[in-house]
Amino acid sequence: MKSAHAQHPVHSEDHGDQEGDHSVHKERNATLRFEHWGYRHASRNHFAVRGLNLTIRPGEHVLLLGASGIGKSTILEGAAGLLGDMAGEQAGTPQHQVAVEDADGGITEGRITVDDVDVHQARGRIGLVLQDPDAQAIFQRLGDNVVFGPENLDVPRDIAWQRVNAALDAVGMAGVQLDRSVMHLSGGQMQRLALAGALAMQPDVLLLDEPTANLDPDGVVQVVRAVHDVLDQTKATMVLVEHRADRWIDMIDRVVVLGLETDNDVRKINQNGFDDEINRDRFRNTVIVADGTPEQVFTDRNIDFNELGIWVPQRFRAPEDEIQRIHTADEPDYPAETGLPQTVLQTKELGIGRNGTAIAEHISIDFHPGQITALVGANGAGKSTLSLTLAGLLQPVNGEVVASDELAAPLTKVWPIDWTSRQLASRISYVFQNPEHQFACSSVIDEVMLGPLRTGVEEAKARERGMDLLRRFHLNQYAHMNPYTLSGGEKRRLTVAAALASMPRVLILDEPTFGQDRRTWMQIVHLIHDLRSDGVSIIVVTHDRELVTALGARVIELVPTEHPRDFADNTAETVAAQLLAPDAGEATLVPVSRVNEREDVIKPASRSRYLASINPVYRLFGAFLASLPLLLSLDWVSAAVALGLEFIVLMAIGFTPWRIVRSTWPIFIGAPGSALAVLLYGKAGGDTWWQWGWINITDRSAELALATGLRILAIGIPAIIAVLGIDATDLADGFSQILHLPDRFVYGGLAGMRLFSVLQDDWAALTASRRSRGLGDDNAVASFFPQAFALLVLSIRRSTTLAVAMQARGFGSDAPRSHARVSTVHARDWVFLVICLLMPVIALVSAGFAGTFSFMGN
Amino acid sequence: MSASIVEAKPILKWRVVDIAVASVIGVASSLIYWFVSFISTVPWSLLESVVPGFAGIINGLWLFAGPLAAIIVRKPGAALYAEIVAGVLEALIGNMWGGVETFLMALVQGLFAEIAFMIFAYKKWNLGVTVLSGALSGLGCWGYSFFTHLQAIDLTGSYGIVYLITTVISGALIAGLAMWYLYIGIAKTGALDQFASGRQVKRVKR
Repeated sequence: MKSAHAQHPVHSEDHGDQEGDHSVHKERNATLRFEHWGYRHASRNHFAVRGLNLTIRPGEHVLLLGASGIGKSTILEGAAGLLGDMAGEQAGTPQHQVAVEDADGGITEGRITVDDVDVHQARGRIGLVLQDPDAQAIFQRLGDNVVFGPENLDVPRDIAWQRVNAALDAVGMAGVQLDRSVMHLSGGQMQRLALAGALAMQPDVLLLDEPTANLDPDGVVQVVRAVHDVLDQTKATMVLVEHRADRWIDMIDRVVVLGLETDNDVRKINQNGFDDEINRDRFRNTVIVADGTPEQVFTDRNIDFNELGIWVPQRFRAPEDEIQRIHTADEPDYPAETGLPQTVLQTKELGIGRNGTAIAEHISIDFHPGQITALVGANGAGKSTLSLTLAGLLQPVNGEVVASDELAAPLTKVWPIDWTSRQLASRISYVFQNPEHQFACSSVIDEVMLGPLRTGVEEAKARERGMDLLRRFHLNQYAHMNPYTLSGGEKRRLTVAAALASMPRVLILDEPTFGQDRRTWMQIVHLIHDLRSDGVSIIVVTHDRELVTALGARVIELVPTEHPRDFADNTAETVAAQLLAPDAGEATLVPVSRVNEREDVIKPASRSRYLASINPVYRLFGAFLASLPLLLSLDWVSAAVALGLEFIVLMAIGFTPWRIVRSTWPIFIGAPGSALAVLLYGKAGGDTWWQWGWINITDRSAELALATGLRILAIGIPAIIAVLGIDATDLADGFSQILHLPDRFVYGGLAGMRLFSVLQDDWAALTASRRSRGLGDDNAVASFFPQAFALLVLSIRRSTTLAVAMQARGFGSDAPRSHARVSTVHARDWVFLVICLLMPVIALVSAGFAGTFSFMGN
Repeated sequence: MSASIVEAKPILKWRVVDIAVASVIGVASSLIYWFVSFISTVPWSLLESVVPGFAGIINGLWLFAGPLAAIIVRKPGAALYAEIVAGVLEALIGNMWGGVETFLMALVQGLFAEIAFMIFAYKKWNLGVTVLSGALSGLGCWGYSFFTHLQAIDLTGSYGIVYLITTVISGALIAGLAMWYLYIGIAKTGALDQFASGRQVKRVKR
């Protein structure tokens, strides 16, 4: 299980809430009031929200609607107390008359209160759940994420864990292993975990910012059900921002639609044309353009909900609101489902997988020009694995992906994985789900010119083609802007434009409609459909039922099965069955091995049970004590004695010599290098063996070289093995509780470390996207720097979101915190330190007796 | 409507976002250091065989986390904090530089990088100070090597001098100069809008 020094209940079996205090079932709610509130983000010319007056009464469940860019997320962040600070309070003037700049460079006007208390002083009374499930997991272990809020509110340990159990119970995750990693949770589980994290703070007001936009249909059902149950029990006040209101409509009792007013008293509700966000010229203040029950608002014919990006709930939907099979100009007369008769790309007995293990085999599919194929299937079923393999970005495990002669010409190789990056870019393009994985240039126009330039098109022609594409995608006004500064929908359009610029015959899009509102959704769907007229074979990876309907796509579903032969029995319950429009043909089913719903095996904190039982901070100190004193003398006796003692002690606590070498192999390569440098250029003395240029090998340098090599091993082995396997969370708890380092920095650092594995995945995605865009042929050094830049930008984006998630849980103030995990120290920890110190002491004393002691090599 | 704006005073107290960004710069850097150690083995030996000690010229690739975090976050201790996060992470995953030793190395390099900004009382954030920070970090790196594994080599001998000069130059160029332009590049993406450092870089507003 886990190491001994951090104690907390490992399973949430105890749902006891006798004391009432820690129960999430207790009814609690509050009034949320915006008083002439406004906020302008740093580096923006206009306020995002201004002059907003809105009161949300206790227990109300409000759906907040408005055009993209109207400031809905800003309103929720403000209500959660994450924007601005308290500086205005001291000014002594009524707050709404002053604008206050905060340390983020933003400007606040007016105020937001919860039961008449300024939100900045109401920590814990407001819970916020954000759109991106991955961004809200702060720590590696599941339970630690839920207990983080209570810790920040200084809730005593026992009660904190009871709250965790109650919160997990409320979101339907009772009994889950608390120390399992969040890495293997599905999007729906992650989002329920985020909800549990908010609930454990026992908020009076729950704010939900598009909590289901990034989830697959199954995840949406899970989260909506969890919120429904929670609201039933707590009667909390709730504010929801969501485009697909249908799923939520039963729990909503008030709908508020926002618009804006300009200087000349014009009211605006919608964006213009293809603008992604509402136009703010002459913006004066934010207004409420409709406010009432769902019935009243959704039947208000003055508001065009489709233009607002809202999917009107089924019961209020007019026939023209339904998503129909769409048609675009110059559309070819053959159906999208079949395309033209000839084949452009096919798989033959293909086996796919990431680490050489096939998750699906014997896949044989043909792709045709002008055809649209939808790859569907549950989360983690392997849709991305298949699409990356088709795109020549992932090696097939067995079988083959074969390009038609026409696609490959003039190349003789027909396997896309064998093509160079440039050859690939002009034939098959891949659009990644996260646009920031794909950007490689500093301006929008360069981004669309990159493909053509890389595939040998001359500059002027590339520019002309690029501008044409930007016009077609309504991005021409942004040609000279930095691609990272575009809005979400614009970024998505740009990545599609950039992929098309190199004129591929096959275009693969990974979840192109994920997280988009209805308006952007429509634009993207039309763009995709329009590509048929170019004879491109289009493959979309998607969960989106309406996307399949609108495009009239052929459906290929990956069906998880226990035994591949049984898959025919499962047909009825497959996603494809739900996805298919009544008039559509059969879906092609591809059996894949079932996703592993495994119990996490927690890695021990060391291969030695003794070492694993030592407090991590003591292990760290022990590593220093065992290694650093050896620096005092550079001689072969002390180094050899220390090395011998280390092997004996490590073997006594359960390491085999082979294991010691395996765990520390890099120093066995490094030590001879340093020894060689010393041999050639070290301090001279005694007979000279050989001299040439700066090289001067002498008795003394040879002796020192031997000592250096041995000592690097003697220092390195304990320094590595004593700390290898320490769990970062346990170490952080030790830093906080034993060394009393400030929690802000300790847990901020710990949260950053969780991103290590996330950033590793980012790096892999960046490598693949660069190959797909024709940048992959550059040598390692030339491609390293741009890719490192992209990684750093991603890491800063991820860390600013992380900061929001941490603050939403009440982290960051100077108020006292409690600690839900205990870092304990025992007598054995002190014994450990003594043993660690004894080894170098014995070694140095031996050198003294042997007469070889040589202070720092002098 | 608003007669006046109460402006924020530049404060040296760390916000949560400062901590998060400095720590993640450390984490991303340790990932990059890791890749560098793979692609640099061959060049290292080549450079050593050209002029002994010349391989110091690539040392800057392991020094950039401190100066980069400092110029982005602009809080006292940012360089040190980012290096320590990177060092702890590397120590825990076990690597080329020997477990807990990485922590010590990071401490020394971070502290030296920090000195440059400290000298100017955390008021000057420009190219010059950043280059100085990178160079000092290089000095720390060189000193650490000679204090530990290269004790047997004369500090003032030709190897020691060449190694000193190349490491300091490398620190100044890679961990200093290049990081300044990297920061400008990142600021232009809009990722640093919440930071004074990001708002200082002019770009097209919308």
